Amino acid sequence: MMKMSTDPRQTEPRRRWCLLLPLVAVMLCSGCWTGSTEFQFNWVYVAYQERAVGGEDSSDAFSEAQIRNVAEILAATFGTPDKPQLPGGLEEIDVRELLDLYKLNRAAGPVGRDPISQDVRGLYRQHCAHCHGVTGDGMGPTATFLNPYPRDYRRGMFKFKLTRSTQKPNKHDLHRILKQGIPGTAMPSFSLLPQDERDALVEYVIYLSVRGEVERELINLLAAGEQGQLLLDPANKSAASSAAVKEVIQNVLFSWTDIQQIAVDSKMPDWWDELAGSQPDFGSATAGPVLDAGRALFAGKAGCITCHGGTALGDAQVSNYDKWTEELVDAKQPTLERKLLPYNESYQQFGALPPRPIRPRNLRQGVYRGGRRPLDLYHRISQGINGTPMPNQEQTLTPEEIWTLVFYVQSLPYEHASRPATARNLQRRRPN
Amino acid sequence: MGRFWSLLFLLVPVLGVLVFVVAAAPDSRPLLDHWLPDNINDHGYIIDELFNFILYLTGVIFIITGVLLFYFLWRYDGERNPDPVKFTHGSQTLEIIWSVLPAITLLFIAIYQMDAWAAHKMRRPLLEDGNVKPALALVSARQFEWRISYAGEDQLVGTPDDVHVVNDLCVPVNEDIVLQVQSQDVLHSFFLPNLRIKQDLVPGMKQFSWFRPNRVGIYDLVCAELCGWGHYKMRGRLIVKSREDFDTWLSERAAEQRVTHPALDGGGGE
Repeated sequence: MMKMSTDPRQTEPRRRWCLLLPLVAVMLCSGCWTGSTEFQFNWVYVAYQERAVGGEDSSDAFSEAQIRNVAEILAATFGTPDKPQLPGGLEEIDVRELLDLYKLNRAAGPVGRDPISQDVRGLYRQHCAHCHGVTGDGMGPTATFLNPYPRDYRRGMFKFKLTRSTQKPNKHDLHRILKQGIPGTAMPSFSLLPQDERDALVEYVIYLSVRGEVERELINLLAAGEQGQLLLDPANKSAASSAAVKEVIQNVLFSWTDIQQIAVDSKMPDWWDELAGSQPDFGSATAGPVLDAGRALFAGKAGCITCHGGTALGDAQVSNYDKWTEELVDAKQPTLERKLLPYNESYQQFGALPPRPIRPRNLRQGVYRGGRRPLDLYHRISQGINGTPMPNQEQTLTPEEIWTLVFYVQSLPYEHASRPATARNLQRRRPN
Repeated sequence: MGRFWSLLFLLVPVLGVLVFVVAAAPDSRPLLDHWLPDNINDHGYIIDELFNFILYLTGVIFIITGVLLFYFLWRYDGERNPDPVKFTHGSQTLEIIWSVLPAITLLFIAIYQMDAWAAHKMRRPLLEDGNVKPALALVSARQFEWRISYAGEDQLVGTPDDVHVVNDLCVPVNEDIVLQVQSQDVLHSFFLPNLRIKQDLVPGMKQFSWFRPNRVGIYDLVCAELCGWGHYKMRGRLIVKSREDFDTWLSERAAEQRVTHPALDGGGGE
């Protein structure tokens, strides 16, 4: 070794090693640091309320102390992504009826195993956070590549459910989405996850949704209150010390516990069993009048044609915005450029994703996001799709009419869009 | 250092062979389940034979070249061979041997594998009347799940009686199964390791894959082509059942799909 170190040819490789080894060490450690895992504050909604309160040029309608106050209330009430906690000190509702802290803890935190029970932990960050975001804001790192964007839970609105139109989904609904996925979107099926892991994820989604909705409501309180007024006394940040804050939390929780399943008339139309009971038969002679009635409803009374178009290709009304994006745009403006002005001016800087109009579904593809069962289709038509322009038709259509539409919509993927109805009728009358 | 480096190079064939021997040995603790999974396909042996043949052939060549490399490093170590290098114009005989031998070997492999190719790509199972067997189901890969549509009674995919499931590919045992496989979005690869089936799915291409499972059970269905950030979790299940169990399973799925009342909504959420 002594001989080697005196050899001038040997010093150069050694210097190279000194550079190479740290580089290798850095490469090996890359990916070990997971970045900050804190709930992100809803700056987009703050900016929205500031525009609403103070007009175009008041970007500081709320003081820094007020914003910090809201963030502190949230942290004291809901904890952190690593250590969630349930809101306490509420007289009128026991939050444990809705959420199970043990399940929440399984879904929260970094990915890994519980040191004692060996249960899988950090399920939300493993499976959901890259799209839906740690905060449940639908702004995770992969969200920007997806169309439609991942759901922002903080509005407390969910599309595909079997409850009344604007009500919250029940756990069964969320579970079904986890299990079936949403065809036609980037939401995959998690059917191979064990049941208890899916349970934990459902709890955590509700938790994030409650937290996000409370955050919005607190910002609403700021906007409604006097300028500079704090929601809570800085000395005592427990939510229970302010009646207004407590009411906000309770109302959001009530909206999750007070859910009714809609009462579907269990009496099906007479023709249902024959035409759709075992397997749908759209070509039979008896199906013809039902399909004609469905087509008439589609184009007339139900008004489907105004958005989904005469050919049901979903091409009639393509410039609407859904509830999640309508705050980011000025939908009343005539041109796209002016519609997007609020986004470009205010919300883009807070990381909001570029708003896209919502497209009516192309009903000829046979892809049903909320499920393809007649039950699902019935609810989509009867209750509408919450947060979208798809309206609630419970009052305007009778159950029989809705079932007729369901049957017609089910037949659309198998009907030639280019073949006129008259030609179809002729063909049906031809023997064999 | 000198001959130390040649010993290091000797480790390459030694460790390389060791890894394979340990992995292939039954109950090999550190590398358990690293050899091929159980073959449950009647036609799978064709792939296994081809795999083993190429493995042994390349294994022998790997050992010979590894040992030769070691020998030359050891024998002609600079410190022990102070004489200057002598260059020659080479040997034409040797050059011909090392060109022709690999050419013959490659040609042999090219011909030897033709049967495996034909079995998986050309000899599609036939019906008794001589027509090709229709697809039992359409397996449609999507970022990041497997959407499967069973043909139903009319044996045609894309008709109103199709039965749609996600991630659960159920097939009857001891029957020739034909599947239509396709991609809905990007490149995927339909991989059933226990059946020795691997088919790249190119968007827009209509392809068929067939096999004959001979053991009841639950096996892996995975994507074998990096298809996006969620590739690692693009997993499904291959469930092989007896014919009766399969028919029951399929009619249950079909019944779930026809649910019209919340009271009957048992399957979706549980």
